[in-house]
Amino acid sequence: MSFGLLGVVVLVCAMLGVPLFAVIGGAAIAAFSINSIDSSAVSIEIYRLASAPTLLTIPLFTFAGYIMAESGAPKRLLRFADALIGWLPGGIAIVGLIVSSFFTAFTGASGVTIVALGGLLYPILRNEGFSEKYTMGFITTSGSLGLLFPPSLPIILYGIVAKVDIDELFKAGIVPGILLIVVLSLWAMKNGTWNKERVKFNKHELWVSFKDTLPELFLPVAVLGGIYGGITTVSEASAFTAFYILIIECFYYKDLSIDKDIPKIIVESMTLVGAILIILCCALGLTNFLVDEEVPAQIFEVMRGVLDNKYSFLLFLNIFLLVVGSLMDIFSAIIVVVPLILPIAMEFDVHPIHLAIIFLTNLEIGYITPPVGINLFISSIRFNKDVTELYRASFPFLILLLIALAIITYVPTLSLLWVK
Amino acid sequence: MIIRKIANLLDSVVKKALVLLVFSMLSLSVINVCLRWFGISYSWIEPLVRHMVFATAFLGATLATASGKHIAVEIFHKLLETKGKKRNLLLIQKVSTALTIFVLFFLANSGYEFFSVEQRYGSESFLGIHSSTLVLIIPIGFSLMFLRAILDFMDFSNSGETK
Repeated sequence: MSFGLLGVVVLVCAMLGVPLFAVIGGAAIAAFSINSIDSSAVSIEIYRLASAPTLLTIPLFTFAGYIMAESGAPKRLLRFADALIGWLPGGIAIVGLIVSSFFTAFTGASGVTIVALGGLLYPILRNEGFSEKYTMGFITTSGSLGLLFPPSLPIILYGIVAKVDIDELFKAGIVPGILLIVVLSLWAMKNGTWNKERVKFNKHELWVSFKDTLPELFLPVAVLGGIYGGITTVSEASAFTAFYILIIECFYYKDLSIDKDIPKIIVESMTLVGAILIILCCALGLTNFLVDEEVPAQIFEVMRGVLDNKYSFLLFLNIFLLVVGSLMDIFSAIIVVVPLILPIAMEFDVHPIHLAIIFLTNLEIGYITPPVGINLFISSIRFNKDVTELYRASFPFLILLLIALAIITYVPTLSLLWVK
Repeated sequence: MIIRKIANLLDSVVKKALVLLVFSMLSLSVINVCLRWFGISYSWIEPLVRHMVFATAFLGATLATASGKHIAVEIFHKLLETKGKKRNLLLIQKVSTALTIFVLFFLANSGYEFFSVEQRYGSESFLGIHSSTLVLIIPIGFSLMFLRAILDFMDFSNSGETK
């Protein structure tokens, strides 16, 4: 079998819906055997994962995120954020954006945010006078908002795959992440009902809701403070986050039972972790083969004939990643595409941290890019709406996010502001 | 019916092992950090925890196989599901599972070959555990997934539904 035929088989299998780990793992085995290399080489590459120092962060942050999603945290956080800025025109939508971002940062997987928060936000937004179209677009979009904030799983995965400092990536995502929220908040204010009688700012409610959710609000501050204060490493922070959340949700709020709910949450969260890590395992074999065969260098040579500067490369990269983001899950896109793109971007003098932020923003937007952005399907199933209806509803949000993406891409300072 | 029973039994064992692993890795990690505050450190905790995560990946992936939650490009699946074409969806699902079984066989075999190499040339790792024992996670992990995929292929009780 030639490499060309192998490529075709891989594409067909992927389009048929064969799990990506099997597509990638099969491709790795076949590629090694074409070059007469023993198949144990694939497992040797897979075993490299067991020596990744930040590996622990993936299951533990995911576990923590799932505990929060299953507890009463979404309601408490919504109540507090509502008391804080709910009195603004469009305030409740801004509240929704902030809380969704908070959740996605911890859960990483957008489906969780739509399922956990979408059902809560839908009646609230409709009741506040937002149109059906706006509300559906809002929920679909906010499902992936927050992927740029620490300790988001895609950031950690990107750091592991690209061998970029995760601490630096955490810092780099903050300003671009805020930019995305600000852009959508302005849109929320524009769509907010100005003539409707607004809820007045209530100091007492703010204080009560703040006290109620304080242990949860403390968490991101503690995680970031711990990492950047030099008190803990990222792995240690993930252990404390999971431990802390487990204790407060089970024994302080008593929202969850340690022997009934937690095992279920472990199974659910580790199923996702297993699905991600098994792709990473299989991809280690394939990407190493591709790098050994100098595939990125060959792609770069082809691209240099068409793209002659950094900015045209960035434009191409954005279009390519939007397509990838709408076709592939963010985790597999990171695992498969990053090792190929990284050396090419270096040749075009793109800073690796800036590249990470561009990459993640594109994939975040890819979630709502028609025809197959995954959020569109999740919302379609969750709210029993036709997917074409969601294309229309999400379109204004897509345009706004693309404008923000252009700013993030062509103003590297936003991503590199706090980076050494 | 018997297939479903075997599948349920396997899933139940995997779930219990996962719960045990997650609690163990969480406790060990927290204890390790606390001990470091008192200037005590055990060099075996970190590699042990990393191997627990490695084993978790395979167990989690086995459950993803059981529940159809593996990450895949599901364009056709979603389109067929929204159009209600259950028979076509079932056919694509079974073809996809058959291809997965085929690949898993080779991956498990690759893991076993690596294990054999380690048995001959490997050395002692942490806590006196031989490297071949640690590497065994790979063939066992892929074999579990292989077995679970076969059971899923033979089970027609969820015909034509995305899980």
